[in-house]
Amino acid sequence: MSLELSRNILIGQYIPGDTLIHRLDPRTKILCTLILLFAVSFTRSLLAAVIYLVAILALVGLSRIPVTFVLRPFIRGLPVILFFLSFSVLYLSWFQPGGVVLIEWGLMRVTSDALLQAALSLVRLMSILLLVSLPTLTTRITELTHGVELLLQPGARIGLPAHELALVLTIALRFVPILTEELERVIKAQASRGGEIGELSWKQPRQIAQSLLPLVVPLFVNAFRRAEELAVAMEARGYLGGRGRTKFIQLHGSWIDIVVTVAMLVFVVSVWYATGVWLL
Amino acid sequence: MQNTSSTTRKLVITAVLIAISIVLSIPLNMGPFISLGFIVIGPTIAITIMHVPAIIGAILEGPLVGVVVGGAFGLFSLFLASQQPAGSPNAIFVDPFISVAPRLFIGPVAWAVYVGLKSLGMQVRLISGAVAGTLTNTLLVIGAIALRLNVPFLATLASVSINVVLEMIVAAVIVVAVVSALRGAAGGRSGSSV
Repeated sequence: MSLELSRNILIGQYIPGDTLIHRLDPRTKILCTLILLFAVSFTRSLLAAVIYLVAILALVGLSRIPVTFVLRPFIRGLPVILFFLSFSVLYLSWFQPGGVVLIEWGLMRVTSDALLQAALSLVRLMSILLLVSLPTLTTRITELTHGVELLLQPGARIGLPAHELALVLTIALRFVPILTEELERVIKAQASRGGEIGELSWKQPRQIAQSLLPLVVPLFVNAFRRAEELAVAMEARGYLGGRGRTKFIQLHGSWIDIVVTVAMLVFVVSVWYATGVWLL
Repeated sequence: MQNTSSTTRKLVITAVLIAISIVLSIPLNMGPFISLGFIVIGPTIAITIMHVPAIIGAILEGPLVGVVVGGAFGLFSLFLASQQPAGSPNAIFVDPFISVAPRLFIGPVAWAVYVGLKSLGMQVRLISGAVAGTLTNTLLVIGAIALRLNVPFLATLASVSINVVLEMIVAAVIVVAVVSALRGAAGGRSGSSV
């Protein structure tokens, strides 16, 4: 049982640096992340997924963030991921047989198609994990907010609350590490008083419920307390919502940002096209 | 302090509840807790409390907060489902009609029940709100699955009947505990209220 939860979640953490990735305009980073996210989520080819993963790893390398640091949550979660994947391999092999039957033993059956599918989702999961943590790891949270707000700006004309959405997103991202730390503290506090969280089995539903409550309730209550304080602090500093609000940080994109975004689009589309032609 | 029921407050609380949803899904690997929001309590039974932030948000801050938090939960489950191998049971949640649309109603229904039962005691109102929110989640998701995949509604519902009952109980207990703790904290030691 490990108590270092904050190592398991990277969303919302920022590692300062002065690399090309750090210097890019936040809008570029958000757009490129979204493009890659769509590509990775909707590809059905293992080859394409692996190419995307290599590209994402190259981006992590460019930003000089240690790959082991970024991959730690994935490695930690690997037992659970593999457990669920092995279930879906058995399920898929049984209900949607396709490809070559590799193992057949009583009611168990494993087909090559099911294994390919499982490998695809493993590669996908790794890519997504890297992708969602990269923008917050390399961008200050305030810059990210301005980026999101400016990107949503066209929607504001048709009544989309761009400023509010950007603010909610930023505060949520900022609160994830704080609440994770808080949860960690609560779990440690329970454990030091003899709470047995990790040693329970599913045969003890009453005990599970008893150990769940002291974890969840403080999480909510502390979060609300912090929210209350933040709201008061914001209003004390004269926050009145988005209307007529000017910005201290002005984003200036350069030609590099346009080049990077276009290059990303071209890369994703060409990989898509190429692997679509040689269907795997 | 309690009276600053402003837009700022609503925005911040919405954000914090979304953050809680994310924290509830961090993998824990601790015995029955796959994550805090997803608990295995039987060989085939797993219950979730991922919908509870939407219920609490709606009861405390109104239906709109519930809609946004529920929508975030829905988008989150859509995102997780898109990572599953195609064809596996959880992959049906890539359909936003199944994953996002039903979750938008969790908050408003819980809020309507909570507000509608004004004449009853606080505990009863909170429990009813939590139960209504949980039922909304389950019934609408199963209804959407039944509509989209042409499976019988009642058979699917029967297969998750134990989960539903357990989820209702857990949700009710958490909502009562959290809301009364917050109300108590606000009324009791007032701290530095202005």
